[in-house]
Amino acid sequence: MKRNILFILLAIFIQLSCVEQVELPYRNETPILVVDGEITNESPPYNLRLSYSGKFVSGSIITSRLAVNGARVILTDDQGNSVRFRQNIYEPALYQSDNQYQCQIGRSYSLRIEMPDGKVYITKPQLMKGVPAINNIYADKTQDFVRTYIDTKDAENSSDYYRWKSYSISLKITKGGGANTCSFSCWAYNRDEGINVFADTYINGKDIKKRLVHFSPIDPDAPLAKHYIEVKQMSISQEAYLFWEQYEEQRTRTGSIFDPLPSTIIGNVINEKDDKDFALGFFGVSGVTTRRLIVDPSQVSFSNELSIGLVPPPVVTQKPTSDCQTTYPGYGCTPPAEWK
Amino acid sequence: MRTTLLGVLLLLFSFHAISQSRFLLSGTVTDATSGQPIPGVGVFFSGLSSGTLTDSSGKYMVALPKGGYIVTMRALGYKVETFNINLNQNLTRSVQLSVRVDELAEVEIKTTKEDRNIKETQMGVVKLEMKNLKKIPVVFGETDIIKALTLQPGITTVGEGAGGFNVRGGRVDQNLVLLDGMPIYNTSHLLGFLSSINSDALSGVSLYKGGIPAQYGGRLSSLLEMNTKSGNAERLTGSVGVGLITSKVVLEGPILKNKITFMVAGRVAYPNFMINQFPAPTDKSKAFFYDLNAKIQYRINSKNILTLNSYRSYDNFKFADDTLYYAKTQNLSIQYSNLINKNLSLNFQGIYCNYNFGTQGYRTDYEFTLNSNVRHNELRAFALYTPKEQLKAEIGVNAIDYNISPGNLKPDVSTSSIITLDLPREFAREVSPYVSVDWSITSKISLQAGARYSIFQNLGPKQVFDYAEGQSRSSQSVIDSISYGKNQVIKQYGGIEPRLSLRFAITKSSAVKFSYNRMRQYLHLISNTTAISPVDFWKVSDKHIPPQIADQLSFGIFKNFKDNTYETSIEAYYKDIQNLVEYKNGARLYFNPTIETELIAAKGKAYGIEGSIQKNKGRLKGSLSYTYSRTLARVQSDFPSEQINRGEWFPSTFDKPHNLAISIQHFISNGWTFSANFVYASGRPATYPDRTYRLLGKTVIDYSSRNLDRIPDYHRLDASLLKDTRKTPEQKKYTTFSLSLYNIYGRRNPYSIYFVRYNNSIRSYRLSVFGSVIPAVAVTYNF
Repeated sequence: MKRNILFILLAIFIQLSCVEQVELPYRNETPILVVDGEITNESPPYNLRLSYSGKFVSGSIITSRLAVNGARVILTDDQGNSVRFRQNIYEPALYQSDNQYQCQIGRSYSLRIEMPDGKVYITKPQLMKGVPAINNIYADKTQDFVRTYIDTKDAENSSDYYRWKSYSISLKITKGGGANTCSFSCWAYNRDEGINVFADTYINGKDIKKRLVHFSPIDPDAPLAKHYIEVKQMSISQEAYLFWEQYEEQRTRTGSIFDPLPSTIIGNVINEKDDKDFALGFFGVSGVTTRRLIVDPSQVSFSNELSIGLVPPPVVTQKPTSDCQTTYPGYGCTPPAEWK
Repeated sequence: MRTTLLGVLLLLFSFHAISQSRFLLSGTVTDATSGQPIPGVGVFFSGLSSGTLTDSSGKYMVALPKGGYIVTMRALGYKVETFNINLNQNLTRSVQLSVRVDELAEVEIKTTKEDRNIKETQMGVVKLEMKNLKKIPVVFGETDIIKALTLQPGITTVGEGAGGFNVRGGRVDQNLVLLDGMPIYNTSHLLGFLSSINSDALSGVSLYKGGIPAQYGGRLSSLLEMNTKSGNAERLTGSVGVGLITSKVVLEGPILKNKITFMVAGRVAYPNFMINQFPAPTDKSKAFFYDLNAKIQYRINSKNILTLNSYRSYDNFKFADDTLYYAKTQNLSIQYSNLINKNLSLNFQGIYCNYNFGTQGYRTDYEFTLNSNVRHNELRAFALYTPKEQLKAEIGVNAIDYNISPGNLKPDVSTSSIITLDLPREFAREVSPYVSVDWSITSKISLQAGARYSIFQNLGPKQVFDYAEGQSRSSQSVIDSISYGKNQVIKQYGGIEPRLSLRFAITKSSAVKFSYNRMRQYLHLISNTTAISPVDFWKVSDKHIPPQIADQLSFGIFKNFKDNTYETSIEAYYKDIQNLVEYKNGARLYFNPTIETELIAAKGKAYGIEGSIQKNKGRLKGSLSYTYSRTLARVQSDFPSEQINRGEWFPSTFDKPHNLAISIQHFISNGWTFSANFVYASGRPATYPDRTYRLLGKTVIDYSSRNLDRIPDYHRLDASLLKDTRKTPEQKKYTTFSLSLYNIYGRRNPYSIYFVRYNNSIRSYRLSVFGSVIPAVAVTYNF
């Protein structure tokens, strides 16, 4: 609620005012552990990425220099069962559980990370809460996007926190690239940029109506091609909600006079012996339900409504002249045969 | 309490009986055209080296030995008035002074007000001359009290468009802003772009940066006292002004000649035409505001005056069909002054203040109204006793009743998914008796000493949580909850607040001054943004949030040159603050029933040195001031979630060490005046990223240390040209035109620096609120 006001307000100030890119000197703090992963009630394996924070200029890929090598990672539930996460040999930062151990709604889980230097980082036991089903999934379109919405019913008598993850597969057309037809037009994934979280504080026990969950870009050269959309509705803890809310707030900073002061986002992984020593990132425990939708753009209504609750990704105006399949995260030359 | 007050009053009466060996001369000095009292008029007597000054209601009173005197009255901007008296009994002489419009003629007047900085015990006081206010070039041509104050040493803002002001490193909520004694909780219009008080309605503005008199308390940093015009007693006068964003009207005059006067002032804004120029969806935004001042004064007889004051202000800002932000202030006060005898007056004031603000959402299925509210009811009573001209004593009490709603959310239609949520109201009362003495011990030494004892009680009904010892307060560490009944005391705070100002005159034109004051603040604005934002709310001290306490020491040297043509001063101060309200990293403040889990008590300190030179006479007037100041905070805690910058001192958001302001006004001829300002300030502290990490395949920026970086410096030049069509001072109907250029060389002063992820790299951007020169015109017609 608050962010929407400030966002639009800022738009006004920017018009009156101006924004320019500047170069500044940066301070660099010492690297610390970063934990990125979650477990759900879906089929294993579960993924966890362990890395070190880097200098200000480091890119978004976890290079082998930033990966944590040789950590011992164990997940334990409230009945004493445990599973080890083992380091992936192809992607050093990635630690994965085995294919047998599946997490369940109603159990509590805690994570233990024994670092190569002997430090031990842990999370407190976290309950895997159930999540209501998505009652409706539907879409409208704007000039640039197919927008997907869901309706669901919040449970009464409990404080619930939600997160939605989504992706879509749509047709992309490029200008040039390789020899086969697929180099000019291919089906590719569109993943979310932002984090979509919600607390039931203001609507407890009522319907969550028309929650915007996905933007699937419409290629101007293929405006009638179908969009294949998948939405996961997840239960998250209050801690996770606060973490992702702050993450999203800092990601969408606009320099407005009403921006909250930035600070480190403290997650839920701390040193076993010294709670002033904490890891960056978050280890999530979530219950998940999934819904899929096929959208034929000619069948959905055009809407002028503003996008609320989710910031649309930037619109690419210039067509790339490279191979479609290498430009976009490719799905294939043909759309999914089945989508249920 | 009541018996103490009575006791002291009796003491004062008996005091009075002793001092009857001389005769008294008293009276009121008023403006001949407007009929309004003139404060600060110098009253002199032939054969005596010292004189006296009229008080804020234009009254003066002296006790002199029997004899004949030539009395001279002098005030800046008025013609000198002289008359003879034969003092063989107590006399009353009320005098009318006529305005001197001709700026050049002012050069020849020798007024006592010029050496106010030397003669008054007070230091750290800024008085704005209302008639000079229009000559200061301002953005959009809107004359603005707060913008004018920020040209003075020690007064800053975090940036253009930010609401409120910071005094000597203090926060925005640490200023006590009083309009005719009524508190103003929101000093901004348009979310901070303009201040909420119509300057045309005002007769005087004083800002106390230190040495705050014992009469006032409840805020740490400063007192901003504004008084509205009391209404012309002779005839109906007024003015109409038209500007780019607002239009204003002021009307004043008698209702019943010499008995009842009135003043009304209104201001209406039309900023929408500007907003509509912007591309969609911003052009759908709408803003509106108005403010209204009204005053009725009834002079029942020469000894009794009844005054009714009212202030209303309304603001709304609608964002693109979706959300509307609003703020509404309703203030009302009734004041009764009774002159019991020539030495003693009694004053009573009852104040009602209701400040509402909130948000309305129009989105289908989520329609809501979120309202917050501060109700402040206050009673003030004081006795002013002047046994002789060198001694003035005041004793009084303020009692405030607070009733605050931190947030009330409700659906606007039955189909809305929004539920009703009501954070419990906060109740409190603050009772503060005080005494204050103004005493000129010799012609060289004077003092103003006083003490205030404030008692604050947080009251029920309320449910209060107890938290486990030895761990950080959080919703998980709640161990108990206690219910308090109506009016039951939950927590009491209080203590003595000594105030002292001392003056030693070295020569006739130089003095040194010293002051000390302790202040306590029980009401806090909860805001975790750089500038105060429309959703920030007020909170009283409670079981977990102790009052903020500040001790300030200051020292100054004052010297005037060339018959007071040049005024110079150097003031140094040091402030120590306890229990400053700080926020945990990533604090969740809105609609949080356990808000105390997000707040931490910090220590603060501020110090600085302010130097200024002013030229008060001649065709060219002006001032130059330079300030070096620092303001720092520290949070020490055993818990990681409460730690800020490892427990070390860090600069506050408005810590701007170097400040320079130059302001000139040049009277050309034929009513033309040219004015210019130049300001320079160090950039304010900011938090830059100091490492990155990878989450969900993306780069995340980490800000591990608060306020260790600084945005680039700020500087700006403004100029304006003013034309006054008056040919003679007596001319009643005239027009003033002003043309102003703000930010002449179009400097893109940084408001903020921020960082965003662009593809796989991080880019930094500078946001400037005004990216170019801003011209404006304004016209005012006076009648």
